[in-house]
Parts: sequence; C-alpha cells; structure tokens
Amino acid sequence: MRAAIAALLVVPAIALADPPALGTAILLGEAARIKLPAEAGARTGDGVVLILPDPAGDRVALALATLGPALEGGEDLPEGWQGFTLALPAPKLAGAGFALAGPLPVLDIGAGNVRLDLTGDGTAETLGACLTTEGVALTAVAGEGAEAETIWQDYVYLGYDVEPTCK
Amino acid sequence: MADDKLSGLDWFKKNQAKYPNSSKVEDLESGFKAKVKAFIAALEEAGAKVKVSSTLRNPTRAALMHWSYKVANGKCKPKDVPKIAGADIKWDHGDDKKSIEAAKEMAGPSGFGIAFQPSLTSRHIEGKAVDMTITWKRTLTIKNKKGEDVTIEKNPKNGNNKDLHKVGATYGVVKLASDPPHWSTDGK
Repeated sequence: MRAAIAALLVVPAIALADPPALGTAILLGEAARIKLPAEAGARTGDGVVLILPDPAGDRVALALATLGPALEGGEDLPEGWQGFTLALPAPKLAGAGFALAGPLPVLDIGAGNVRLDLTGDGTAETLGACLTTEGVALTAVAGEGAEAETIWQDYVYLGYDVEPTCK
Repeated sequence: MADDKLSGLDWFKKNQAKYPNSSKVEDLESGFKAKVKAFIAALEEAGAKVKVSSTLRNPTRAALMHWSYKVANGKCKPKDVPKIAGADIKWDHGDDKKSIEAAKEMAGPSGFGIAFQPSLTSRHIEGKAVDMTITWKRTLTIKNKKGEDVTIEKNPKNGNNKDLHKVGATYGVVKLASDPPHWSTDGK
C-alpha cells in the first residue's frame, strides 16, 4: 500500500521533468499532416495533442489525434524533422497550429493563446498564431514584455491571400 | 429539374476550373514580369535553384473563396452576397440552412479548402507578386541590376537571406519578410 502511494507521488514528478516535443499541425485541404522534430522519436500510432489558436480571433481549438504513416521528405520538411499524416477525430478541424508529442503538460488557455512549460524549467512559454499576407505565423515565446524571446517559430503557407493580423 | 447555378460542391466541381490561378511568370503584369525574369535569370546564372509556385491569382476565384467562407461562417447572409463578375452562381437556396451547408461544402476540404477568410485584393490578384522558393549551396555570387557581382556567404542559403533581398530590390523585386516565398513590386 505504501509502495503504491509512493509510486503515485513519483510518477507525476517524472512527467513534469520531461517537456513535450513541439511541432506544427497543418490541417488544410484534404491532407492533414504533422511536422515534429526527429529527436522526438515519434512513430505511427502515437497520440498527439493539436492546439489551434484562431489567428484572427481569441478562440483556441484543442484535439487529440493519432499519427498516421510517415511522410517522405519535401520542401517544407527540412533536415531534422519528421512528417506524418494525421488521423483526425470527427468533426474535422481546419487551420494551422501546434502539435505536442510526448507527455501532456498542463495547458493554461487564455484569450487566443496557450501557455505551457515547453522547456521543463518550471516556467510557461506562450504559443500564439497570427495571419501574414498568405500564411500563418506560429510562435512560442518565453518571458513577457521587454524580456520576451521567441524560442520557436514556424510558418504555414496557405496558397491564398488573407487579411494580415500579425502585428 | 435541379438548378445548376446553385452553390455547393456540385457547382464547385463543375465550375472551379474556369477560374484558375497561375504559376507562370508569363502571366504577371508586364512591368513586373520583366523585373522578375531578370532577377530569376541572375539567380540561375549564379547557380541558385528557383521554383515558382504562384504568380497571378484569379480575381473571380478569390471572390468565390471570400464569399463562400463568409456565408459558411455566418458572416454574410446568402441573399446578401453581391454578384461576382464572371461567375454564374446562386448562393441563396431559399433556405438559409441549405445555403450555409452549400457554402460550407465549397469552402471545405473537398472544395476550396479554406481555413481563414480569403482577401478580395492582393498584389497576386494584380499580377504584381510572385511566390518562389530559392536555394543554393555554398557561396552565391550573383549580379545585381547594375551588373556588379554580389557575393553572399552568410546563411540561410535560401530566399530568406537578407543579402539576397538587397539584390532582389535592385531588380525591383521586393521581399516580404513575413512570408518566406513572397516577393512583389513593393514588398506587400
């Protein structure tokens, strides 16, 4: 009994020390796909959490999905990254956002952004999305105000023109 | 008899090919076309690889995308969509629910595949923008518009290189920093 209680106390501490791997979810047209860092060691069948902040509003969509077959390299799959197709739950999401693979961290969801510890240091980073002239700019920012630092960014090309919302 | 002008996936499949976008430099506005051709020629002569993915975007297609998104997302009533030049389409099915479902089909993954509200105007629609992927290996020595050699050694070795942007500007092909593939007459 004491050993079982001790195990329950130890497991969450280990999970908090391992941050998730951050990638990009591209849910445009009929072919949904995910880009993840190769070092994450993700495989077909693994679960991922999709986070899609609305780049033109303040809603955030969340979904659980499963990685499909791995994709061959392409122009938007640079060295050090893996690509997968995605088996989405119904109803289907559309847009571009973030994919988390690995231990699920605590998510703090606010007005159009999501805060979570991406580096495992106990402080939260902020995920955000905005529209450029023909794409979606995705960022992960550590710190706030004058100390804010972009630690991760990606761009998803839409192939059509939109009204920019990025500042 | 079914009205073949009614919006929806059937209309999309039967008509969308009439309003194609282009990936040909030849379809650009004439002044900008000459500048882009000269810049691409300089890039290729210097050993860079250039792949053009988008040039002139069809204004009718842009309008169909814009209004199908707005109706699908409740931002415009079907009966209030203005006439789109060049497109014979009825958005109002006489039943708002059916009209919105039809617009959702057009905007959805089997139709235009739209996730965000498309714009009605842009440099692409004017023929004054080009999306291209530019890459090279090692050092790039490229001639600017004046014919002077410019050597680019710093990374990245692609179209996001700021030294390359300066060379493009000499040709009148201006980089938009926020969108990696996008160059235009004025960087917009």
